[in-house]
Amino acid sequence: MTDQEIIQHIRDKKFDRAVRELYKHEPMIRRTLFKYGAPETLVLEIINDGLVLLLEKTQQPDFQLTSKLSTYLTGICLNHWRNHSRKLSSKEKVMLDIEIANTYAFVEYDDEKEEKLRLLDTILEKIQDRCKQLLRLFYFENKRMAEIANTMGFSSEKSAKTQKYKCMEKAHKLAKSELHNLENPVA
Amino acid sequence: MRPELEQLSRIDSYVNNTMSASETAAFEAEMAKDPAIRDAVETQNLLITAVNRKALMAHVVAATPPTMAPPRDGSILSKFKWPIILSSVVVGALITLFAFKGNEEDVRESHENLHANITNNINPTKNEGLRASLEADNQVPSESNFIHTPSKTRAVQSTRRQFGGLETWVAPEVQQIEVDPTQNKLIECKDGTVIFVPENAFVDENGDVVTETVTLEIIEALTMDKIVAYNLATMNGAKALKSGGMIYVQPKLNGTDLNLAEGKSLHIEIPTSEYDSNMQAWQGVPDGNGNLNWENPQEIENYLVPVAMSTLDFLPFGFREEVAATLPFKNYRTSSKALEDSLYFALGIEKEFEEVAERVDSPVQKDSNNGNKNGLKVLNLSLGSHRTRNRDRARDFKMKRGLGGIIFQNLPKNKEISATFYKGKQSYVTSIDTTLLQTDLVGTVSIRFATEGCDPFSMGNVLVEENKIVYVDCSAWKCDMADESFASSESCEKCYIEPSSVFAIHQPEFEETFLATKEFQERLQALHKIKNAQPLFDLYLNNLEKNLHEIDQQVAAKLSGPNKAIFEAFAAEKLTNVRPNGQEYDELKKFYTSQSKKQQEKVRKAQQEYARKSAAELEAIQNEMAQLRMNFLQNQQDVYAKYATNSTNRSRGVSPPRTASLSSVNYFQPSPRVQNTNPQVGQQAAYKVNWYGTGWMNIDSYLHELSKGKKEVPIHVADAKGMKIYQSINSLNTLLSLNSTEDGFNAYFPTSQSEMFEKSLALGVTRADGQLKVAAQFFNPYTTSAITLNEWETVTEDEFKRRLKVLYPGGRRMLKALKDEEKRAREALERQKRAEEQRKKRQEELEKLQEQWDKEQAELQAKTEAIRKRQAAERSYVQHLENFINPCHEDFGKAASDEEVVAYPDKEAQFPGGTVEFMRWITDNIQYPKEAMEKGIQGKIYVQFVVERDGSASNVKIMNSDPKMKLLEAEAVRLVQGMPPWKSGEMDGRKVRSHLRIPIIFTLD
Repeated sequence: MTDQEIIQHIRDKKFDRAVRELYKHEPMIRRTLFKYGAPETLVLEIINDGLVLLLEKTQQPDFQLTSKLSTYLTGICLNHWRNHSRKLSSKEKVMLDIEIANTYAFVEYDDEKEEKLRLLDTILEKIQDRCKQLLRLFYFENKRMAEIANTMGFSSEKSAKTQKYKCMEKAHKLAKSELHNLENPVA
Repeated sequence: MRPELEQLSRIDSYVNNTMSASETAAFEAEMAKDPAIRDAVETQNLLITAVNRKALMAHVVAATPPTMAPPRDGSILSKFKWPIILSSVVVGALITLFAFKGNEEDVRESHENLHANITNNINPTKNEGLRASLEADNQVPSESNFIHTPSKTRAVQSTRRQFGGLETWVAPEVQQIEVDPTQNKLIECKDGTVIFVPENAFVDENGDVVTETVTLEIIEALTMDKIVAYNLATMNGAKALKSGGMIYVQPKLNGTDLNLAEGKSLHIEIPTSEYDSNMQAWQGVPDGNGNLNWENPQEIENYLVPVAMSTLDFLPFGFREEVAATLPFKNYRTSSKALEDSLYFALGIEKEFEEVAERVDSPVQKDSNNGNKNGLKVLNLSLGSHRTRNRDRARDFKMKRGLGGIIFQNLPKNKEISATFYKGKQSYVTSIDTTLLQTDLVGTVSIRFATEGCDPFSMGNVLVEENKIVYVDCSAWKCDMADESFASSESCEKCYIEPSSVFAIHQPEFEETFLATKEFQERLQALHKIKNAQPLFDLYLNNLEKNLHEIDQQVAAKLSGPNKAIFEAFAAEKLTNVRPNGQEYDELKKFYTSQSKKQQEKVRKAQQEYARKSAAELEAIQNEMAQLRMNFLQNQQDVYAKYATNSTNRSRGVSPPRTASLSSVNYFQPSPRVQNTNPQVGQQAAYKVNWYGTGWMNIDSYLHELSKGKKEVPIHVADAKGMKIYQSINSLNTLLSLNSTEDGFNAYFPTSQSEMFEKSLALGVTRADGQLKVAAQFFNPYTTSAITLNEWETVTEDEFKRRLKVLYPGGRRMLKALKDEEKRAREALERQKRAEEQRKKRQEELEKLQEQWDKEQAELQAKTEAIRKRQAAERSYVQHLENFINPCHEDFGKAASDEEVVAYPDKEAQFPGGTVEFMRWITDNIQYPKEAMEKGIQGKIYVQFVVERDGSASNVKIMNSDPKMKLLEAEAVRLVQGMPPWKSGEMDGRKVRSHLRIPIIFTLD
């Protein structure tokens, strides 16, 4: 499968096939991550996170591939590792920075945004499963409210909508305090 | 809906772009004013992204190949635990320091606290502070169950003052011990006397063996204050004696005295810190007036009692501390006995065995072409049952030459090795079964050679058993043996006792010989300090059947100076040999072994306790160290290793660098069987006597010095009636009871002035109407003509005892102990200092490395900084471009003229047919340059070009220009220039020139 075909699969939301294809690069990425100090126990998570980021990015209509997908994925993973690894020694960090700047400069990676998203991910874990389902159906699967109300057994589209806003409110509230902490860390 | 929800609904609509244009404008106006709304919009954006990501992650995880089970619970960071790797270095160093201190205290306190120790140690493994793992390799339990009845000992303070016909001044401290007379019994008394009572040793007045529980009454009088308080004059008739300690032992049954059965004897050991071989055992015979006369002297038999080999330590004094202070070495961070042993035993194994010649199946064949320096040669070395002709096979195991033989390393386990060696006309076939050795040695076997001119190792008979042969090659010893003064011989480069021979004697086979005694350990420690002492060491080994003092004498004869004196002193101890099959032998052996182990146990506990207490403190250091390690683990280890090896050199006074040979040595694996012993737990010397009687016994010798002439000093007293006047020579444990003359009493001294008598004491004691009266005066007999004792005081018994303690502050024994203690403290301090220096040096090295690293880091950071700057410049450039296209920005529309090249047009330039078509076109048209193909040049070329408004490409540039890639770059440029026209980019509805970058990848299959 060519990179373009993989991207096409992703855009067609055939994620599983795309991911399976991308997983073929896992050993290579794993080695690179090892080289820059990522511990065995974290490598798989980093790669999975990287894959999610790749899927997200390639879905965007303005995404343009300037390298091989595998390179792109490696770049994301390295960025992700650099951003998440507070415990890297300064030397390793510098080496990693140089590598990223030299080889993977084309990879867009917003440290701050990723940091925030990591928080939101944990926040999503804290809200009800029903809420999660609702939000997923609405935002990820682009289902209409009427349809959602039907699938999830809400009495009306309106009550589904209200429920959705309530879920959002909950998430917003949690996010507000957490993001505040992130920006103003307690000394 | 609530207003809050209403607001969220608006935010959601805005983010999802489902608002009408007017609504959007209104919302944006609101947003511009209210940062809270801006935040909420951002959060909403993030929330949607997060929701999508979660869904995507579900897909990713679902598609993860099954072999990679994803442990996904919680965030990455929460599961991240950085390993603290360097932690144990610090622990090791500190523990060792403490261990030594703990040991110091042990020695100091052991005397006073003996009883407490015993009771504490009955359940040694129940201590909570002790970790299970330590218990496991302790292996103390089974043997420490050996209990010598301390719990039944009672120290009784009665008012009775009559014991065995002696009337004491004060009521003595009597220890009453209940004994089952039908069993062998070992008793340890309060002041350290050990008494072994054989079974069925007591008979009553009718001569019948007593089987009921017997009470042993014991009084120890080992110090002068007690000797005086108990009226124990040290006299044999009119002859003066000096005492090495007195004891009263009386078995009793229901208050009646019992006797010893015929042929039975009590084995009594009286501890001493200053062994005097002239001492004899005397019997106390009462004179009927409440006084004792010492009669019937009996020679003291100074035989040896072996202990378990594992409780002895034959390594040079201080070696273990040195190892502990200089760790880590290789991967070892904490010291252990096994590690110290292996380091020690590996010393002296230096040179590679130069030649491995093979003479298959002809062990006696002569061929000396390839002989090494000593003419030793391996003829045949084979593995298993079949011998090999393959030279390489023989080389599989490493052979190293030590001074006295060859050590094989990396031998396969569980295989029989046979090797044939010859020198000159003699040949020996040796077969070694490594299974015998694997626990301790892991395939390392030391083989020593017998050669002409020296007797085979006399213990060979023991070692030859079980296919294990050990020979000694004394001619391989290079030192000049003709020089009788070994202490002054400087000719030998390596003049220490060969560790492998120490290893050889440290085997259970020798446990029945004098090698397995504390006394031999003492001698070996002394030998370790003497240069070229190997032949002296061998003297002991070759004469195991002789008395120890005879060998001491031989050794002393070969030495000179202070070393000679040491061994003469050893010889003067007149120690004999291990007494075979002594009745008390087993019990004593067990006793000493258990004592030794208890000491070890205490040290271990102290270590544990310390480790526990300072865990928090250490953790902080560990963290720090871990951080350091992260930076330059490798460098650091090199430094440590360097010091570890250097220091072992230094301690032996040998200078050549040995890092290489040390690191190639195959270390013994730590064996769980080996216990962690401590070398400095000394066993006190003792006078050992088999005593065929009960009542008072005295270890005394004649005070010959007193009979050299006679200088008298009269002691005047007002009323001599019922009074006892003693002449006491404090430093000699001598107490003479003076006879009254017409003038009173006469103390007498040798005519020639002697230091030991300068501080004499005249002491008068009387007891009238139940009241004790005392008078005492110190005098120097050579400056005093007469003494008058006129200041008599009435004192209570307790006051008397207290005063005696002041008058006799422990005597010689105490002084010696104090001196020893001081010496030990000083030595400990010095070791501590040395360890501190080592640490400092290492610290300095580390700091140097730190500096170097800081520099390196600064350079790296400078590089990063440059890259960052470049990126920032690029970013600001992009920002600048963005501003061009941002209608809200003041720079908007200032460019984008026809000639302007737009970086990010609204609609990007496109290849006719799209990206896929472009790829295909490239693939179809690319011509891999032949030359590049031959040279194997591959790579990725980034090409930037401008798509003109007419769709043609211009300004073609290579972005990652590299001289090596010249050929490929040319092809890339050719390719781009030959492209069919593109659909040009558009901005604001008109065609613009736009930049485009494409990567062209050249790969060879």
